[in-house]
Amino acid sequence: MVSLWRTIRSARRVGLKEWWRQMQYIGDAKSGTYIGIDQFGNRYFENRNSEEEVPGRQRWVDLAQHEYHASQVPPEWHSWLQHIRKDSPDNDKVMQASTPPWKVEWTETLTGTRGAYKSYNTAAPKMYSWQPKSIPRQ
Amino acid sequence: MALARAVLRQAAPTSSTMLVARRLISTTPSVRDQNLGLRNRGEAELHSDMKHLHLHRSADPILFDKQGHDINPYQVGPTALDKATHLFFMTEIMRGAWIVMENFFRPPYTIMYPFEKGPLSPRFRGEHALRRYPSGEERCIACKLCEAICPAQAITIESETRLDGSRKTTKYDIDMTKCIYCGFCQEACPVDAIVETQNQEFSTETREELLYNKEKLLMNGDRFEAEIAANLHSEHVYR
Amino acid sequence: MYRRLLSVRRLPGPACRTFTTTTAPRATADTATRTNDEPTGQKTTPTRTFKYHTVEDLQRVPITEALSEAGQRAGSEIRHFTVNFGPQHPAAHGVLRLILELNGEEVLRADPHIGLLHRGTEKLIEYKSYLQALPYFDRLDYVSMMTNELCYSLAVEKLLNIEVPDRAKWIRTLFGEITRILNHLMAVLTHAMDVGALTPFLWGFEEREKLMEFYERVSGARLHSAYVRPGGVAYDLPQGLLDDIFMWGTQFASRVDEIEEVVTGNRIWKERTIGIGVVNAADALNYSFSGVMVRGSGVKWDIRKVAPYDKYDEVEFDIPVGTNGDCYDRYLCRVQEMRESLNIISQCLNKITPGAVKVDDHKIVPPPRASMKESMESLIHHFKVFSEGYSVPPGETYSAIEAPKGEMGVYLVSDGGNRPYRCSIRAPGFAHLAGGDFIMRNHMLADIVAIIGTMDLVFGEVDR
Repeated sequence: MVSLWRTIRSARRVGLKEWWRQMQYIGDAKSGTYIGIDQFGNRYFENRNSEEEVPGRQRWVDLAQHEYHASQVPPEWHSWLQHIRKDSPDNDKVMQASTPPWKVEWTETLTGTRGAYKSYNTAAPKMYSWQPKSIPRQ
Repeated sequence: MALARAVLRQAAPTSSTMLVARRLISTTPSVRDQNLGLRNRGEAELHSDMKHLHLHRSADPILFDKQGHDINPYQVGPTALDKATHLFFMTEIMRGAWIVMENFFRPPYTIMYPFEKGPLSPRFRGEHALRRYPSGEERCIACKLCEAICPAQAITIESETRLDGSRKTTKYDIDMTKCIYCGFCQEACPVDAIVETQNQEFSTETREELLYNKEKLLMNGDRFEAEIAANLHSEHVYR
Repeated sequence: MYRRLLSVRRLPGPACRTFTTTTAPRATADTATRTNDEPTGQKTTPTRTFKYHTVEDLQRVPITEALSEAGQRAGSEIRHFTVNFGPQHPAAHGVLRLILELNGEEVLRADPHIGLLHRGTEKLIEYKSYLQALPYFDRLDYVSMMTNELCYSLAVEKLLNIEVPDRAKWIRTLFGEITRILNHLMAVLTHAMDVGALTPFLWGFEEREKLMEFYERVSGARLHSAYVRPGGVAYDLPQGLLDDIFMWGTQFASRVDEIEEVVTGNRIWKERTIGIGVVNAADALNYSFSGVMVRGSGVKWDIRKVAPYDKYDEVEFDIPVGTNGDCYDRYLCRVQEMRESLNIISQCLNKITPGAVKVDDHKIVPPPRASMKESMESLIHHFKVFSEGYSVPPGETYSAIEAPKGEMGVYLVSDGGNRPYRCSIRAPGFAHLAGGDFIMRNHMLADIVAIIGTMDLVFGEVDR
């Protein structure tokens, strides 16, 4: 019942096309202010109106890929999305100041693909297999 | 069914009577209930022998009081008409159904993961990362405090001295399948090298991918540095 | 004749009472075993006797005939039906394996088999330093984490002979009661779900979610917090947490009311719980029950009252005590305890004092990081605490607290070293399960589920 009002309200705000996309991915009609977009094209929204969204549902992401996955959100936006940081990475002075120049680009979890991480030894081996050296027969 | 129970009662008077009909007793306080002796047991009975424990059975309902008069079980509590009304109109079930109906009109509280996520704090202990100094030099000095404190013994460290005289690790392995995410390693680290990030979405398809080595941990640190540093900044007053 | 031979050959097998053939051999078999006072008693030579007889195996026998036979076979031996309840049964609350001996649907004997979640915690702790042993306690009773830690921390503090600061005690009391609500929500609502009420379970888990967010904010983990430590608590409360706990507390009482409105008066719930699993006070004491299991039977016993720890002597609260000792009374006790916990929480919020959250002995708790980075002495203390740990004076202690499930106790023996010589854990659920046999006897099979639910078993602590 409440969902019906939500649906009508959100569909009027965001338009039918966007609403259809939301229903296909998020599975619920949502409307709020657009906060930003990350380097992968994921769009982030917020609706802090407590009449419209319960706590925990106030921030959300519209993931760009069809094969969506939680790890497609880069760390800076992740900490915004999970309410760890108050401001979005575009406005967060602390976050920007602590970004080092050698920061490595985020990649989503590649498990199950050929790019999956495989463990290996980083230290020099302590044992070497015996390489038989035969002296050629005189 | 009642007949079968009666037969049971005759056939085996000690063992099978316990479950019969006790559940039909009303919960309203009644004279019979008080006379059952369940409320005010004597102190002597509290210290009974173990041998009696398996032989106990519930007391027979007491129909007469000590003077031999009939006990009227309905003299306190709701009237029979009240009870019949509640019984036939299912009042308590209707009231419960009303509450369920009310919840139908409340906003849904399902969090649509992964599009929405519940709140986390900067203290959250998730996937591990090894950090670097702003210059790019790795922080870990191979003091092995984390290896010593780790309750699950998930950390393995080997170290060597570099040509410039600094002590660095050659091997820093964390078995994430053993790790219990207690956070002792990041508390123990004197140089804030090993930290637990807020990332919890690192599940893998094989166990092998969870055997993190130094390169993987440093790579995590390089990706998460902004988030880690911001969290340490907001948490530094508590630590 | 041929048919009869066939049946004779088939029948002496141990359990097979097969009446797949026509009635002719069956009639012979029955007359053979009937006693002489049978009205139609024909004297025939006994060809065979039934070794086994199962009640529900009524293949092709009319029920009237089977009933008239009951209890009349002289030499028949009765083998009861044995069924495995669990370990994969959803109502087994984890990995309980109950071997039930059934007479029809009536349980004659319930034999709990435990150990499927045994991890050797007590032995492992003997090889860990006092700080390292702490996370193991989270994993004992994994729905009331901080009370387990509190129990262990109190034992270590007693051996160390230290007193934690007031604020730490308030935080422990506050989170102890939050933990009690967490646990009772789980206990009551899974109990209700086991006997068929699914809806309140979902509401309760919404509240649990909020409480676990408080856990996460204060400790960094939603479940295995490792927050209450010997010498205080790990960190101070973050800014604004107490406000949020207050805001949560203003609405939680009505959530309990809703749950009660749906469950308490419901006739199905009453049918399933009233008079089921009756434990009288003597039995409860003799089987060393504790917590709600003993209070539901009318014994006024709560360690928070009889031996107050932390700040329980400075808060006012009541202990609900049942009268009948059945599942329903224990349910009512748990619900009322949630309200009392809410009362304690609000008192904690009002009375909590500012100040330190750890003792200032840096041989026991690590120094703050800022001083560790600057002061050499602090750095040495830091290294000593995290590598060697601290040595605890020789001695032994049994310190018990009122965990949500009952009396949780840690018997800790120190030989003066930095590791416990012995750490024995008294888990309430273990004693309750040990009494399960006498509670479950003579109940119906479906009531077993209600009794397991009311015992509030968590196998992390039963199996340890």
